[in-house]
Amino acid sequence: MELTKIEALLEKYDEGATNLEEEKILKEYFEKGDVPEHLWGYRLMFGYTAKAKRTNYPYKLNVKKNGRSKRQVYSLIGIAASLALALGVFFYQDNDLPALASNNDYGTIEDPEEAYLKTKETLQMIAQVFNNGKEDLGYIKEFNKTKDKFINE
Amino acid sequence: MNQRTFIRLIDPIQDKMYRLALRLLTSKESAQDATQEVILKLWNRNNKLKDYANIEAFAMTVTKNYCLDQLKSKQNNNLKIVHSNYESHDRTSYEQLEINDELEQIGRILELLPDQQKLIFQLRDVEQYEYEEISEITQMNETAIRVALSRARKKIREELLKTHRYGIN
Repeated sequence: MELTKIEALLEKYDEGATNLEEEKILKEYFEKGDVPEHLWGYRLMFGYTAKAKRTNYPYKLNVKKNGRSKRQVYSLIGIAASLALALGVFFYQDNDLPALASNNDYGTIEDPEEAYLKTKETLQMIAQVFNNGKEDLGYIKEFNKTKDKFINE
Repeated sequence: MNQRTFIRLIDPIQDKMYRLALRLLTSKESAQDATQEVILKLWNRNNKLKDYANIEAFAMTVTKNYCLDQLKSKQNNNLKIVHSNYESHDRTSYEQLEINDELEQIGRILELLPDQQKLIFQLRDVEQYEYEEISEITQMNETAIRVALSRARKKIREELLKTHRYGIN
């Protein structure tokens, strides 16, 4: 194909006036190489479109097994993860409870005499603690002083 | 339509659908998602599918619409589609001048074109559809298609020339 003919076709190509057959001629011309310098831009364009057509969809088509989109899969994973977490927490506590219950050693005393003494001691201790609290209430007397001033007059 | 018939119909088209999605959405991940969504859409209405005279044109139309919708919703959310398909663009090495990189440059120029021109350039110059088919897919008349195509072709070479000059200086 002579150069003048190619150039005429390229002009038509630029105007969007070529048909598919003419475009095929151009494609083949530029594939062969040996293209004059001033047609460099066209060579790249035809090279690019040929290369672009070789890009393939990377997945094999399977409507049944890959029926879920990525987004749906992600949300399913999310749901599964939160379920696992919730169940995990639940069962963790459940396993812990029997461990506590089996620990039946509360320090029970069998001898009644000793039990009596211990109880007395404990009650006394409680009473003492109560009295400690009562001492702190001494401040309330101060309130009464002020109150008496007004009310008794 | 059973699964096998469906796969036989879609199998020769899916690469074209993916390439169209890739052209419009730019990012490989989005294009893969889009292709999968569209194939699912087609599968969900597979009973009606055989009523279409030209299933390929229909599949391409659905792909086009889906991608343009994606782009619109991305724009509304003020998000740009982020993509990292390209290797680094360092201008330090002579590899820049190699053919492969020059071809990638065209890919970058194509990204600058309006969506409609991208779409038509893809359908005509990459996939070699007849004008009638492009008209069916895009719902545009033939004259408008030729005009858009002519603009795209000229713009690409214009930009190529610009970057080429910068490269030399």
